[in-house]
Amino acid sequence: MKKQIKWLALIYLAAVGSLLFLEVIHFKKMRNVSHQIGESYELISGRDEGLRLEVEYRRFQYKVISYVRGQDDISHADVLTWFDIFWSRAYSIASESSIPDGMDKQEARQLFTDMRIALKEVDPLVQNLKRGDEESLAAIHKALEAFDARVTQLAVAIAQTRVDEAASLQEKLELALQGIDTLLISSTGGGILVLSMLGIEAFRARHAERKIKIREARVRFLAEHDSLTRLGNRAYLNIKMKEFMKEAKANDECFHLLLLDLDKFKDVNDTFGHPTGDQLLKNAARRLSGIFRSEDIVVRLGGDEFAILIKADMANIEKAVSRVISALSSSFVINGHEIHISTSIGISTYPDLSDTAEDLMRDADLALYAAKNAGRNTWALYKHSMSVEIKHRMGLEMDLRNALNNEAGGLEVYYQPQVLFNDKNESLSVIGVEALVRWFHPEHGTIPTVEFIDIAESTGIIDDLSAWVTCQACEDAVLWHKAGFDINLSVNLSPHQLNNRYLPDEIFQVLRKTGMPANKLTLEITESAAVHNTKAAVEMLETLNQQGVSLAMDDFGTGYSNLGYLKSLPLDCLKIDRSFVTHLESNEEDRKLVRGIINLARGMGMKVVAEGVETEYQVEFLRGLHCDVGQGYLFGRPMNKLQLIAMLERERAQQNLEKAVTNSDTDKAQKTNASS
Amino acid sequence: MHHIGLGSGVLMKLVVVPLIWLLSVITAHAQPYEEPKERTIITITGKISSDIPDGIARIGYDTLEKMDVKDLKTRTFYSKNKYNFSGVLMRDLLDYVGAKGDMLEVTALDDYRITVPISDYYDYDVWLVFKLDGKRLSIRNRGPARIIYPIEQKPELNDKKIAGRYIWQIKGMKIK
Repeated sequence: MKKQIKWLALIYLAAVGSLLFLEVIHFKKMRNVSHQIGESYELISGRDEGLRLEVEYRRFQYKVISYVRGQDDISHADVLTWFDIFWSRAYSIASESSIPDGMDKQEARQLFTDMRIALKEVDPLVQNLKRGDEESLAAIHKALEAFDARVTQLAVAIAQTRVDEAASLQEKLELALQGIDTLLISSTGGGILVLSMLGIEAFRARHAERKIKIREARVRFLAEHDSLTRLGNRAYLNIKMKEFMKEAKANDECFHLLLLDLDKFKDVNDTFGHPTGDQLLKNAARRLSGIFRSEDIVVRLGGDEFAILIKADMANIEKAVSRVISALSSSFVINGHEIHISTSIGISTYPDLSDTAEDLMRDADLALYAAKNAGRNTWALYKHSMSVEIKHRMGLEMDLRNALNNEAGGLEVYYQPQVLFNDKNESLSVIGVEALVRWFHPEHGTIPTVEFIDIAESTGIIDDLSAWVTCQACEDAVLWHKAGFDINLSVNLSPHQLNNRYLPDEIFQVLRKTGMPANKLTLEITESAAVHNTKAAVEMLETLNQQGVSLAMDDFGTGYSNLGYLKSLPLDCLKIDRSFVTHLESNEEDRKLVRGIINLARGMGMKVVAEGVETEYQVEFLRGLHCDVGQGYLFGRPMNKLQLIAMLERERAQQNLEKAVTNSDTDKAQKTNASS
Repeated sequence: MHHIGLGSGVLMKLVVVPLIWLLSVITAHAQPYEEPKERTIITITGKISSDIPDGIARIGYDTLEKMDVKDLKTRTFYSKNKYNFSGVLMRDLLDYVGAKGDMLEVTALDDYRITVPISDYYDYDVWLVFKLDGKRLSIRNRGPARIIYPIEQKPELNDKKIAGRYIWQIKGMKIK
């Protein structure tokens, strides 16, 4: 293609060159001709003295005759004037090259000389001529008569010369016209060639420019867009935000930045895998784009975070936001899975609340955080008061993340004893512990568990936190086992973890790493709607169960799971919620409920653990129903591992002492028998 | 001037001298059209000043004499000898009649006629001569007036095209 253009250009240049050459030649010719045309004026107009001589000769004769004979009102003065004109002509003619080519020069000169002599002869006659003086007239006539034929001959010769000259001039003119034709054609051709070459070049240049522009646009698009959802990216948002701010400033308007992320998106990725997660993002992006107008800017910031720039009043923003929430909480069907997510939205406003790009982002983020705290699937508009409260929370979140990787962070696992009610001798023995996490913040002191678990759940740290607790607790339990205390370990699973399809592997890995036997571990789950894929969760729990890990239903009675669901889970144990146990003494209803729960558990072949046991009455009541195990302040508050081992040691010492007492009683009896 | 001044020296100094000076200034710059007192030798028609009656300006020898007459020793296109001509600049004559056109048509006594671009007269010092050796040109000497180009001062005028713009025995002009 390029080579062809080169050749074409060469041919063009050669053609233009040869045309130019042609033009130069013709131009020279034309110059020649134009020079000759200039001279032709002289040829035609200049050498007319001979003709004028004849005319003036005849005019004079007419004037003379008319004057003498009294015709035509001719005066003597008129005669003299025309005689003088004729005279000056006769004298001037010889001094010029007025002799035509076709005439003998010698002959012509003789004519002029003779004429001057004749004029001098007749001069006195003319000067003194009187009206009616036929004699003088005859004399004048006679003197000039001889010139008649010669002057005519001169005039004819001049006329002939003129005809010849006119013919040659015409020839030259025709040649010139031909030259002009050639010039016109060649310059037109040249013009067309040059123009078409320019046109081709312009076309090529435009084509190339367009290609470059397209490439540039593509590069810019890639730089400013997210390849997965085809929405703009963070860079694009920054560009557009600047534009919006400029415009808003110029027109005294305001606009909003909406920041949203998909709640529980991580669970989707964990449960269904990344391809499904990506597809979900695509679909969510499509739903989002569908809600907003073309002038609004919808971008994906990364992960499951989206941002929208929009110019609208608050009423319309609220409408749009509600549509977003309802659009994203409608189920997505991807690869045959029905997936439910929700979204939280934070909104900041320019310029009323936040007046720089950084502030807009930060404030929208704070509002988003507030929305999440408010229970997700909702939105919040940034308020100045948010900052303090949320910054505190965000600070805690950061500290919590740090604490997971750092022993000085203040996280610690506490253990609450679980006690087996001994039917025979009414003594109680610790058979297990429930691991509970505590956070002693280096600056803020003890952080309520509810608060930081909430933070961990809302920020997705819960998985890491649970893993950390499990690992710590298993390490401790292995130590106790080695010390001869064969106790069971219960660890709480967050509902979020049930969305993590790698959970069994992670648990098994902890077991292997710590040397913890699977049959000494119980995982406590709660009844929760937070489990997306119950089928998958059930499968995971079964896998764990098959490897010897026990499962307990925590806080039983407070949730709303149906018995079918309960039955589908491979549960080994039900934990009766403390709220029922606390009022056993005073509330007949609770006593009925607890009795029912225990019967239910036995019927399904499960053990029962009562939580929140604080009084002897409660112990007696539960023992009466053959409830096996209890947990509560009566037996021990949650304590650290050192306190727990001390408690276990104490108990063992007591048991040893009791055993010794029993043995001595028996010995005494045997001795008594033997003596009797 | 001397005749006016006789007998009243103070009046002459105070009034007449400045008056005459003023008059001379006016005439030098814009000589008003006047009918000739002598015989008319050239009539000028066409685009001339509207102040001139009937649109016909008549030029007599006295008219020319009143203008800025200069002596001019030159040869003509048609001769090798130099002649002592006297005459006025063509542009002075055109200014005198308030000419407004681009072309000048000049007619000779025998009705021979040429047309010349007036720019010639402003680009060059083209003369209308009417005296030879101090004497008025006779018809036999190609009078009463003829146009002479300054070919000795401006060699570029030594051209056959210019030769066609020479004319003698002038009797009329028409400004177009």
